[in-house]
Amino acid sequence: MDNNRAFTDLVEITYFNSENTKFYLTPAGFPALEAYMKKVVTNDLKEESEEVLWQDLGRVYFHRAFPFDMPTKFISVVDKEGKEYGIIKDVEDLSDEAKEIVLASLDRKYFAPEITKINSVKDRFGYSYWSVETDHGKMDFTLQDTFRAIARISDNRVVITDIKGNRFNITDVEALDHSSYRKIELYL
Amino acid sequence: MKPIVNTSWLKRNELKLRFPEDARESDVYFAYSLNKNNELIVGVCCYNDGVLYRTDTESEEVYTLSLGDIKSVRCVTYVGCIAFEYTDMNDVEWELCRAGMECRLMMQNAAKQIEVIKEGRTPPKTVENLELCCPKCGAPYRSGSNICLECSDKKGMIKRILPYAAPYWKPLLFSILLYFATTGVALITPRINKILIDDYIKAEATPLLGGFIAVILALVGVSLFNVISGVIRNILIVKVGNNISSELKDALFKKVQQLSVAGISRRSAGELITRITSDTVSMMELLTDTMPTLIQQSLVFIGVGVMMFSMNWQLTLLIIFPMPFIMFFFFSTRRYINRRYHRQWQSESEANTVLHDIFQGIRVVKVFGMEEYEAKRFDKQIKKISEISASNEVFWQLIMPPINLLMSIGEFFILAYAGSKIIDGTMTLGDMQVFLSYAAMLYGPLRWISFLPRRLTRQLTSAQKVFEIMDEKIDMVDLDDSIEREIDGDITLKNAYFGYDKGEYVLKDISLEVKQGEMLGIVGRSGVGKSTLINLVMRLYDLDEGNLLIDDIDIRDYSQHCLRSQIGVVLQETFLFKGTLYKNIAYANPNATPDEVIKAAKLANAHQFIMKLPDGYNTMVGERGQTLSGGERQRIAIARAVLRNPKILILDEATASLDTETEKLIQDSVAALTKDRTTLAIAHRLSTLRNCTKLIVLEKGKIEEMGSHDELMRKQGRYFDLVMAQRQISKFKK
Repeated sequence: MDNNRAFTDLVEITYFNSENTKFYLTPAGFPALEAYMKKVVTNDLKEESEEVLWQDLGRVYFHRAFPFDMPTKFISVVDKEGKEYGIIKDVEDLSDEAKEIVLASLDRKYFAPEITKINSVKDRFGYSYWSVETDHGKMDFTLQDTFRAIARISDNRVVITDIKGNRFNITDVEALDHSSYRKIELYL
Repeated sequence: MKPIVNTSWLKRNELKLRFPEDARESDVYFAYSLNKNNELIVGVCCYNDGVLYRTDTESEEVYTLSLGDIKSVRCVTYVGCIAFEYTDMNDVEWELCRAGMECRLMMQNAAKQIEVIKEGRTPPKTVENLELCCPKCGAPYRSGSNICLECSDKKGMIKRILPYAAPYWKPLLFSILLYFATTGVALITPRINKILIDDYIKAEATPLLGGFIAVILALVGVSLFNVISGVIRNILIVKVGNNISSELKDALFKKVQQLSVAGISRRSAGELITRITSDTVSMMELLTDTMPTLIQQSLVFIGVGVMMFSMNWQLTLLIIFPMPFIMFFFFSTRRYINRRYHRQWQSESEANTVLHDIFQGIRVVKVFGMEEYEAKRFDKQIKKISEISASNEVFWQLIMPPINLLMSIGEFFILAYAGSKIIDGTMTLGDMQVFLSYAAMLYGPLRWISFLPRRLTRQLTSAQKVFEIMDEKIDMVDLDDSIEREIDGDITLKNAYFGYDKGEYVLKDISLEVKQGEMLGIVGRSGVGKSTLINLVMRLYDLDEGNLLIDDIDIRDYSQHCLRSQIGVVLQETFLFKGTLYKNIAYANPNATPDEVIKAAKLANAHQFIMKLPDGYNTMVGERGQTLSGGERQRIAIARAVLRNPKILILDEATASLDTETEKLIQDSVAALTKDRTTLAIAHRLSTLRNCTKLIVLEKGKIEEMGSHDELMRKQGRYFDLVMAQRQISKFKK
């Protein structure tokens, strides 16, 4: 057991919390960050710096490490190129103001309407045409290889990816009304 | 089913009217579908004459943005949505609009075009429909396709398919005639039975023995005829079918090979394989099975119907009465039953996947001691299958008896009606028997026809997919007067731009010159466009802009065969075909003599390990053959390239999977090989490139540094950093 711990201790993760971060919005409404952390080196061929200081990182991007399991935990904060500055272990660790910024920009990045009702499903030429109600209004979409397009994340959680690359979410299929459930049941 | 109308598509055209007139038809155009809060809207954006226009259903006015006020534009791809952003003159980033993924291609293409305009060049015209949906009805396309199945003309399809059967019209006509004959005979059989029953079995007077034998013989003759004609017909159909399907497969395969790499890689290998193997077969079935059977079944139906009506129309109506119900029943349950069985099939294939997974990874399973866990996983899947199949069985047992009952209702009608008539003496037992057989014959076509729509759709869809490839325009055609000549090997790139998809350029503004006999080393991190550059030299793709000249002649002027036959390639991944090692090396030059092949293998340092194999050059490799290590495969690839004696040699990480010693050996052979040849070499291990006359460092699709090793070291730029970083790593190793 002790040896195991030694392995994972070799890697350090920069965790962001209310103490070492100041999240703010750019004039265009993009999230930006000022953080107290090791000096960021842009050229990856150069040595890492050991100096720790407050620095304005400018606009940052968020990426969920566990988008399905833990949408508000383990959020990676990265730069434009996708290089990681650090990780927000839980949005609750942030100040209320920062939490709001992070959650809002996650909502803007991960667009997956929640399906509340399935109006109709039609099979045609091996494709299925769906007409649904979502929290973003009425939507129609098409699935190719329906069984594969409907991914079961857990027993009840379903994520549907349509032919164009749009995603739809059903947090609990069994919570759908009976007629909606009957329509999707056969594809599960 | 009513057509799927894309309302947002219509709405967009309406919105476009808000733009100034000459902007409406601009080529640089895209749609968007979300507002700032990810709520659905319909919006359009276009560029014309220095100004970007944007409007949507949420705003009344047109928002304009002058191109002079912005530094750059780009698309940011999120998860399930995409945004169009720009940077203003003060380096502040702004979001112009955002959209669902359906607008991705249009948006990315527009961003690229605007960037091109900003740089002062003329953007290439967009020819493809980037909307990914049918412009007529708005139904989305299937992946890798741009033909709308909703709008495609099904009758026209049949007209296109028929010519494939045309060369075989004689046997097909003959088999249809046989159908006619069998149908006729089938209709007569109950009549003969009637004679048998009425005149002999139930005869009042003692019948003549001769007549009885004649009737029996007639029955025998009828069965014999049925059997023989059936056999002949089946043989004919099978022959014709096989011919048609192999012709189709050949034609399709040839066509696929003619397509450019870009055209082929738009579809997955699996997709192409199913099109060639199974779609052609189901198209063939349409011609040789569905259509003839349709004719036959209709013949039977009409024939029996006419016979029955002429005998007794009241009774016929009684029999037909339950038919609509049965038809309805078949139609309504068809989909439900299909889905049930599809589910069973699905769970069975899932179980197979689990098994496949476990056995493929059996080492990992054992090493981590996860046998127990995997057993549980498999058990869960097996239980699921047994549950589903049990439920399907129960369902089947519950549903079949009522159907059979419904089907036999007709018989009850006949029995009741005819029985009373027989008691009256107005009808004979033979008549009743005729009716009963006809009634049974009527249900056959009925059942078949209820499955027809499904069959027909499937087969027509297959035909559609086949034609889609047949109709595809070959995008890399040799010119009529294409050049066939021995090349010297000068390569020149002038302001070359290239991108695999509409989204982004992989290579930007590349200009370089490699003279005959020179060796160019290409350096840069992965994904920077090194392999792309050599793909262009091999002309697997054509440039978007700029020029690529070989011996000062545009690469597109050469015939593709002439060009590629003079290029030798050693790729990162070596693909060995199923066959012997000898054949694999000689693949590059099938006319090579055995001693040439051995020489090539020696030069590539492959001869030694080949001779250690028990079967030498006759060792089978490829699928289910001898497994070779990465280094060994690579040496085979080098031998292949050597045998070709190319004018231009391309080494894409050619020595990456070799150990240091072998690399040293191969370095020497490579040095011999590259001596008088133009060589393009990609390597991560910079020491491999020490013989290069010229080096380029690619970064973000552009040439960052160019020069000889010494020049670049003196410059102390990225190349210098790379060399230093690698030296440090090798110090570690020591």
